[in-house]
Amino acid sequence: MELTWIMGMTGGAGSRAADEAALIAASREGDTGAFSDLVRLHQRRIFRLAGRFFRRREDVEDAAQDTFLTAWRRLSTYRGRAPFEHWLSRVCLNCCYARLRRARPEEIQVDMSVLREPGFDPHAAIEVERLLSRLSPGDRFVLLLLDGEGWSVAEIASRLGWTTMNVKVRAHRARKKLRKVLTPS
Amino acid sequence: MTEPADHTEFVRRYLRQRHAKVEPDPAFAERVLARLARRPAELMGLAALRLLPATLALVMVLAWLSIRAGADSQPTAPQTTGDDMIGWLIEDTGR
Repeated sequence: MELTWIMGMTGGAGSRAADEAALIAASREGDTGAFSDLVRLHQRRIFRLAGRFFRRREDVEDAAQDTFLTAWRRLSTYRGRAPFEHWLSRVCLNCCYARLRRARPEEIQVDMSVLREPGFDPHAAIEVERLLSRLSPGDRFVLLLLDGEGWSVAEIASRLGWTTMNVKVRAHRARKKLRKVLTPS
Repeated sequence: MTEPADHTEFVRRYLRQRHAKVEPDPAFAERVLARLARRPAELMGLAALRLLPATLALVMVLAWLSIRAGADSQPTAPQTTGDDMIGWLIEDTGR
């Protein structure tokens, strides 16, 4: 299956969705070429999402690869009720969470590209990084999705399959720790 | 340090921009497909690894059973020797 994916040139959202549905159907039949197009279509989004949780590029790459391999294996479970992008991001989150729980704590390092922008206090950024490294994987996960991705509690709960109460408790706990760290004593 | 009033906003801004510029390289999709091709072999290897403890346990149980069966087949009564047999025959014929 040869389909060229150039965003914005495929004739609108409806056409894109139809093309995506065709790629998903072909991938289900075992067409790796179609799946390769699906990967190209979603790789940037998945990389960005996985990049929220890992500092090292190799970890981001591994998490993104795991996401697409899991998606290939479980493509038959995608019912098409929600957008494919949502289903894929859920797969990605599960892969990242599993990896975070297995991983050893990373050394603390501030993203220097952020600090070049005006208004960023390097000391506060280091404190945030230090706190992130100390949070449990679940709490860190929720904080990064809430404040990093800008998702709502309900969105996180539905995409992770957690209860909203669980997400709220984790968010509250993480933010309370942050406040404690960032408030001058 | 930031003031308490704006620390939440600072954290939000920092986390929103942190590692936000990670991009896949053009060969990423090919690497995924390469792993996909390796996948059946990988899965078989993993399945074999997962089965290894069960296989080892089975081997140990079978070994233990065969040792026990061997021990059970040992005669409980002492072996009769040729002399005993002769003695018994002499006694029998003497009756």
